[in-house]
Amino acid sequence: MVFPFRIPGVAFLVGVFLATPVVLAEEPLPSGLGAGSGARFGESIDPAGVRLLPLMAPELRGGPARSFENLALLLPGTQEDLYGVSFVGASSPENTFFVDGIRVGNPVLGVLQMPLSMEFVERADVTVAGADVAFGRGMGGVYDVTTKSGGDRFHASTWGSLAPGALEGERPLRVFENTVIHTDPRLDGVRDLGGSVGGPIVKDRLFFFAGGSLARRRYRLDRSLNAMTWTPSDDFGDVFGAKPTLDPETGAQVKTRLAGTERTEFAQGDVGQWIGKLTYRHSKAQEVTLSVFGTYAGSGGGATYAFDPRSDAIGVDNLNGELTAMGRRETALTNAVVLRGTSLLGRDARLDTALGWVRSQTETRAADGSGVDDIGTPGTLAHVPRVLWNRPLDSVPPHPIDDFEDLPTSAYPVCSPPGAPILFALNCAAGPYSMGGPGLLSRFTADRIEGRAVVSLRARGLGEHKIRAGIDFEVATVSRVQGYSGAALVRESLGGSFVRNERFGYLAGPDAPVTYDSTTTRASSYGAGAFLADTWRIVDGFVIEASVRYDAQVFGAGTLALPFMIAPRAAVTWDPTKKGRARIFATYGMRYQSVPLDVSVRALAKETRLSSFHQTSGCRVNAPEDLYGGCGRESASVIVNPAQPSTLYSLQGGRNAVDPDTSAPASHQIVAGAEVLVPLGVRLGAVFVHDELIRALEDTSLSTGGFLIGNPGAGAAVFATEAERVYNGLSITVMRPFAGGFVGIASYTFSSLYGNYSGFFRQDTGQLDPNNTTDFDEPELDTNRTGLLPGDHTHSVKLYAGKEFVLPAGVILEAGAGYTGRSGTPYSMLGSHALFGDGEVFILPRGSAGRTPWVNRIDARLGVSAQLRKDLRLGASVEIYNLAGSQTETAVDQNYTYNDVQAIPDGTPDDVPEDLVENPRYGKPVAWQAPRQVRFGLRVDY
Amino acid sequence: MLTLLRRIAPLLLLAATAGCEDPPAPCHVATAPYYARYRVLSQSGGLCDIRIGEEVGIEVYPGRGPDGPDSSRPSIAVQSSFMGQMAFMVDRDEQRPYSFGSFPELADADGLCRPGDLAPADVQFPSQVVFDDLGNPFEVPGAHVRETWKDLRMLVTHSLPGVRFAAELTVEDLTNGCSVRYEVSALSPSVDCSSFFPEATPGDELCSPEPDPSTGNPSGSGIDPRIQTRCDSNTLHCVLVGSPLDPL
Repeated sequence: MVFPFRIPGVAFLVGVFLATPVVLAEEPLPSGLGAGSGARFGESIDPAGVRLLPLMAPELRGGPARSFENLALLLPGTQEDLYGVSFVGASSPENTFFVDGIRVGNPVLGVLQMPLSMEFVERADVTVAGADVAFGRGMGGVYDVTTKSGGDRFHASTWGSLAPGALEGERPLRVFENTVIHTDPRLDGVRDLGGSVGGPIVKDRLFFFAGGSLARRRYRLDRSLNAMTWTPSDDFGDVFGAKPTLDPETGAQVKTRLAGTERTEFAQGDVGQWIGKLTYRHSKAQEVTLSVFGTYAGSGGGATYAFDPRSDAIGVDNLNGELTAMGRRETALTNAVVLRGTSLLGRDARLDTALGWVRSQTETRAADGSGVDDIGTPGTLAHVPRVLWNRPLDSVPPHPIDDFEDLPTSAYPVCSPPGAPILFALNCAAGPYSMGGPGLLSRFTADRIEGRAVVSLRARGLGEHKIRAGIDFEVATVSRVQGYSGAALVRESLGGSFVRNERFGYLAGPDAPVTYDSTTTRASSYGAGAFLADTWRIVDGFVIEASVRYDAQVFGAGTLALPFMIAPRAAVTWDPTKKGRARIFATYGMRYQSVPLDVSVRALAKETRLSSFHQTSGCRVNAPEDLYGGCGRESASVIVNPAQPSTLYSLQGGRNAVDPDTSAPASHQIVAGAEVLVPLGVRLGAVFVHDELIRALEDTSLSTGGFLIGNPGAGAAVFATEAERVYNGLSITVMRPFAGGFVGIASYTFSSLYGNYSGFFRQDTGQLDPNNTTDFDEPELDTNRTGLLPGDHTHSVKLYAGKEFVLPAGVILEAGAGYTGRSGTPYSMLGSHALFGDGEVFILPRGSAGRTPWVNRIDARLGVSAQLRKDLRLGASVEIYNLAGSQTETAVDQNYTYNDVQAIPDGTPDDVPEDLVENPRYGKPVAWQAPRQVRFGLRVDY
Repeated sequence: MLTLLRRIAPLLLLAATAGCEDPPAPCHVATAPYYARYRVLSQSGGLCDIRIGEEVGIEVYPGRGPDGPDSSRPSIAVQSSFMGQMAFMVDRDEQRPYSFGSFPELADADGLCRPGDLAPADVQFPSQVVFDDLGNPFEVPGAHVRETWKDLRMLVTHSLPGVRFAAELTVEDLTNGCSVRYEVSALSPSVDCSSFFPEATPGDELCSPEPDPSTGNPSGSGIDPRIQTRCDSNTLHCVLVGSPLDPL
């Protein structure tokens, strides 16, 4: 078989580290980072050992590229969230991703934008909780990935897969309110092709490994126009004498398809990956590797739509605009170069070092490929401002769709039935509609240089000690260039007689604007850390670990300094069998957050924008191609209070302050559990995890209109609400690592996630802005925001099993299946705030309005492989995700009312006032689990 | 490795010592207009129009740098709403209805932000042609008003930016030779606390930042909760209890 053994003497290919001397003494583990702490909750996963299991769902983030990130979903305490995998209640951007010894997460946002294929990974060591101090700072889970190295035998593989959209299951119908435009996405196809080759260059000394893969993802966007149905009404609140005719089941307005308005657009993206690695083994005690690996994701451009480069979801929700305005070209390039060395010094000591450079470049360009540097270039889409037309339905009739698009003649009688008093504009309202250019264009270029060294020694003294010490440093810089296409963003305002212009610039004096096409912000962060750890085996089977870590992080020009972070960690492990067959352990660790650069780029940058209102009659808003720079000063209207020196222009943003007493965000983590090895190679375990946030780093708005960066509830931000996030979870696990042709992973987790802080992104809105989200922005909106967080799923069941059947003539039949079941997410009852708008008031305590239903998913994999020649194996497989085609909702509309309301502290549903106008869509589904999808695979291994 | 450490060490040392003394707070001013309460200090030149209070707007501008704004050399403009309204009747490019001068970027040792000398605001109305009872036209010279802001002081901290200020304002009506000097106490945002019902007494509750629909305050006043205010019965606006330079 082509699954090389890595750990001689140990048959496990999926195994947890047991802190017994047997393992420590025999084999220096390749990573050198996590070695030494047995008291952590996690698993070491070999992708080859789980190849029988269906793990590459096409619609999962990173699924088409076969990202290693999704291996963690096998483990208890994890679940997928919008930007990756969430571990024990933390958000996915808080995770730390080590590949070959350096971190590859995005330095600005923390998310993993390098979906390195499982095919290139030799081992992924995933820590769910209780991570060792050698892993540095981080409040989420830790991935420690080692890529393949090649070996003494020459190996090569090619693989390919196809997930045809024709075999996709049904998707429930989406609901779009107040617009005739309707867009339904459907999978068109996911295909990938890749290969790898590895082997010796100089036998026993120099090895190489190289690989590449390309994945393409395409979705159909079926767009149609559907006229709305209204009933005449005399109610005072119904502005145009009509109320929407509602479908009682969905709470949505009844609509009629306009024949001849259907068309199909496509969203398309590609992910390319490469890896090249050289391993030089000087002797049995010294090894150096040089690896270069990376990914390039490009989507959209031309006539296709893009995918959001951070969440991997389709970048457009509804095609309510022209292609020039809605289309984008999104690219994300991440490339890493790592030099790594391991040296065994004598029998008792070991040195591991790593030095690496990661470059990330993400860019948003217009559909014709012009970018932020082309804003001043005529003839490009970057030169055209985006115009957003929107007349909210309160006093002025909305824009009818034929203001923007041609309708077939058959549509007119449907939009304006003879004899019916309902306005054409009401029946066939366009809703918000975008024209012109793409709007905000940007380019982020980030570089991170990182290095670490860990030395471990053995000593004797009242037992056996394994002492480890390490240092690491990090220098990260980012440059962001951004600008509006056409140098202005134009929005229809105040019922249509005015447009609002927004431009990057500042005021040099009263009504003296200085504007520019694009702004450049540079930010940098310097960090250093050191740790000392001792693993003390007092007697056989009883080990105590104590370690402490010191870190310092400073953002460029000393704007935010976190100079003093001391994190202790202690653990106790007892093996009653003294033979490595069982362990009972408990760990306490304090973990600091590794603060990404977003807080420096967004909040500390002094970029301001100017806002002005212009009369539509004086500005050529109907021809955005000629509107570079927005509307001129001649059409500007006085909008400000006469007391203000500037009457035409007002300044947005830029007045941010930092609390000099800011402390680094941190959390406590307690892990306690027991594991026992029973016959048949099965491991039974029970683990309890308690993760509690100590403080967060977030921004709060000041009454002057700027933001204060600090710790909410402490220091200068003491007026803001304190951040809270507590996770408690108990997991029961049954693990049967791959051996004898069978693998099984089962777990049940009972957990609760409570607080008011989701993490680096807001679960409610999807806003990804580490340390800068709208959480804690307005203390007056914080009533009832503490409760069950959206990531709370009380029960979570994961069952995976796979078996190989060896048939005669070298044919192997593979069967694998997985079941994931979990409780729904709690939802809240939201209302509108007089000042801050819709969805900002939590009428009842967060998460207390109800819970979405239990979500089940059954996946299956069948494969067959045949030995063609002595070393050549050909395999074919079919994977079916969501075999049963379940269509359970995963999110519901939480807006109970669009009226202005007050929060009811500790309220219950009986306390809610009766006179509020209830949103008919409240509690109705807005998102569902992915439909049934089929993925065919082919592979050849040598 | 060692050279890198040598480069980083001073940075880390700087960071460590940066925590020893509090860096000064930035001089950020309010974006919403202030309500200024006036108290007459002295007057001369006969019967003058006395103001009891009005809205005042303040804007701070960065300096113009070689490539972008230079925030180390800001300037400030202060404008009373009287001058602002008057300025609509004249060509704003030729008259200056606001006071202008330099402003510091950071607070001084006392935590105060004080502008440099502020050039006075000066508006000259054009003369108007008026007709007497007999229908004869005669020219009435336009009013010429000059406002001089002096000694403007704002107390700022990292958590409480410049939402209050104290100053001295001299209003001169140069057409009739009248001059009044006021002591100014100002607070942002400007909140009207007159009750909806004319007979009812103006309420301190309307100055509260806590929303309370039963008292006609549905969204809160927007005034920072750490600042004590009361509803002034003469101006019907929320004013400060105590001095604008009281630490909080």
